[in-house]
Amino acid sequence: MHETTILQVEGLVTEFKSERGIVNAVNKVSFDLERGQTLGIVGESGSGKSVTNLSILRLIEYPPGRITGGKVLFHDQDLLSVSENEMLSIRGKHISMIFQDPLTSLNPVIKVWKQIAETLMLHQGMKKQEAKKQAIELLRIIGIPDPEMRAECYPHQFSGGMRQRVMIAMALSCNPDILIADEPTTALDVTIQAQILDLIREKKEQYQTSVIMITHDLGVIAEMCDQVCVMYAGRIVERAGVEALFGSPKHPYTRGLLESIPRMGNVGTQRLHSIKGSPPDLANLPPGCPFRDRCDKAMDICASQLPPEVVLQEAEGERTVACWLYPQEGKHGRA
Amino acid sequence: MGKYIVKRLLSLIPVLIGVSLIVFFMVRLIPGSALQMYMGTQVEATPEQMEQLKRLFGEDKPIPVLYIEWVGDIMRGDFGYSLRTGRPVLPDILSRLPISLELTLYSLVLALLIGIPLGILSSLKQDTFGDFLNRIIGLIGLSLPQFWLAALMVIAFSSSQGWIPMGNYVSLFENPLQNLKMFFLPSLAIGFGFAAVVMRYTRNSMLEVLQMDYVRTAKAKGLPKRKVIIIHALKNAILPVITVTGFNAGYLLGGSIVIEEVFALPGMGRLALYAINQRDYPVIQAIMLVIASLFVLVNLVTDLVYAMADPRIRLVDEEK
Repeated sequence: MHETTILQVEGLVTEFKSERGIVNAVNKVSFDLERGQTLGIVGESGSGKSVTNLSILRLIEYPPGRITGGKVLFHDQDLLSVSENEMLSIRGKHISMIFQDPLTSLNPVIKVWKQIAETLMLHQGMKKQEAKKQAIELLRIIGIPDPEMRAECYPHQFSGGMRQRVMIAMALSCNPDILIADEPTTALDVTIQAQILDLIREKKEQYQTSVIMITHDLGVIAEMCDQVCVMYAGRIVERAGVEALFGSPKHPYTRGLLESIPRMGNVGTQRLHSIKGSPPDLANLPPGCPFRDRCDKAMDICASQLPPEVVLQEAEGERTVACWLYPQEGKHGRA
Repeated sequence: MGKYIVKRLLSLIPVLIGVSLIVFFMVRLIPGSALQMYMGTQVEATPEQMEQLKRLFGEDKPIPVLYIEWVGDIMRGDFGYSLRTGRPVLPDILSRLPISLELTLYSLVLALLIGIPLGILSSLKQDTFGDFLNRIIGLIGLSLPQFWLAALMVIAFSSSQGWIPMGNYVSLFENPLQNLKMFFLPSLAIGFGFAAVVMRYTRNSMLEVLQMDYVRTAKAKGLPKRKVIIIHALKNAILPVITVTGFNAGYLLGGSIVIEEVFALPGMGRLALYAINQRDYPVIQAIMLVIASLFVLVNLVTDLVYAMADPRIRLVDEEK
């Protein structure tokens, strides 16, 4: 663990019991989050990005879900082995989350200020009146006009963008070390998306917060992140700095993702690339690489053996990729 | 809001007109008139005496004319006199109304006090032994007829001092403790089935709400489980329970009629039962009007409570 590493996830495994058997939603996932850094986790639906982050906060419902392996090191303690009570003082205080759909993520029958003040009273020991004042102040900081009046409103009286601002105010209220943003802009209009991303970036710099940004939108990744993890079928298949990833993607899946972004110049002249097939059934994973059926570079070995993570040293720094195209450990990868 | 309440209260008028029409003509469809019930089979009377009696019992005019006269009387606040006792109807009803209301309210409170906590527990321990046991008892509660449960209670507790009223009714203001003790079993008999309904609604509603995103948000804030359940989940899960409680309050009032008879409580239900047996038309009619008014009021209160519990509901004038 480096001195600057604030969160280290190691070999995390989360499984769900389903009617068709055990599903490994997260399968031996490891990554580091550096202090003040924004780490992007990208992947399609069901690739395990959200489950990974819910597992960090131990918010997986049992049954059906269960974290069965790995470590989540935060400030030298393994969050997976601390007591539930200790976990309560970490959630919302040191690590907080914002979610995809701000309409359903805010309680519809509780006033907005109360939902923010609750966290302050819980973690900062504030009295009700003090917490209310602070909640209104947070609403102002986060860009809600006329916060005194709006604080008395209920979530349904806010627009989608306003609601996400409230969520952010709530998440940042205790000045957390880590903010996990789970698809924070997916449910919003494009213009509002940009505002929300700006807000997250601004507050992140202001409060020196480390951010984990979960998204399936590569545009968000390019705009916000320093490091990127690409997830596929519960595994991280590639990890690199954002420029390295966009500049020279290594894993065929990452390449496929990047090629399926429409480009201005090509509109109308070229068909949009798409990755053929669909993600594998996690309850029934065949041996070998889970991407091989959709991969145009698949080889014999891909069908029988799971590719290990290979560390590649490049001028910009270390990166990893899990693909048989890069078999030798520690050697330079082909561009 | 005030305007809304006034409007709802005004809707009482057409309801009462409808109820009065139905009741007035329905009670006269029951075979045997009040006069026949009064005369029995033994007594002989001369034609002159019969004429007099008919006038006394209001059987000398066509029914529509009688209806109009009756409505006119009520407009002046005169509910008429009992054909059996000769006493004015209204004071008799008003003196018995509190007993029926207390019984209904008491059974409602008992049902909610039993049903809501058990429903929450069941939802938190979904599909465990406790949950199954809870649901089975609930099913039994739903299936048991109230009067049967009441009769069993009378048999089981008849030797226990003070639990069965048996004619020695004490009002709430005289001796609250004894009154509440005396009303406990009758209220339980009425409310037990409804407690099962409340339990099932609470359980299902909680199971749904516990899956919601905002419950996950509350957990992500670091709130302890107890607070997540009581503050964030229950506040939402209670909404369908409010609706079903409103529906059932009227049903509980109806249940009190039979139960008052079993426990010999001098309530409005008992009065109604005797009045129907004796074809005491003025009493039956007045009681039905009171019950219909209560029904409308209960619905109004339910809507107001719902609007208080759910800020997304705004009470607006219906016509627009």
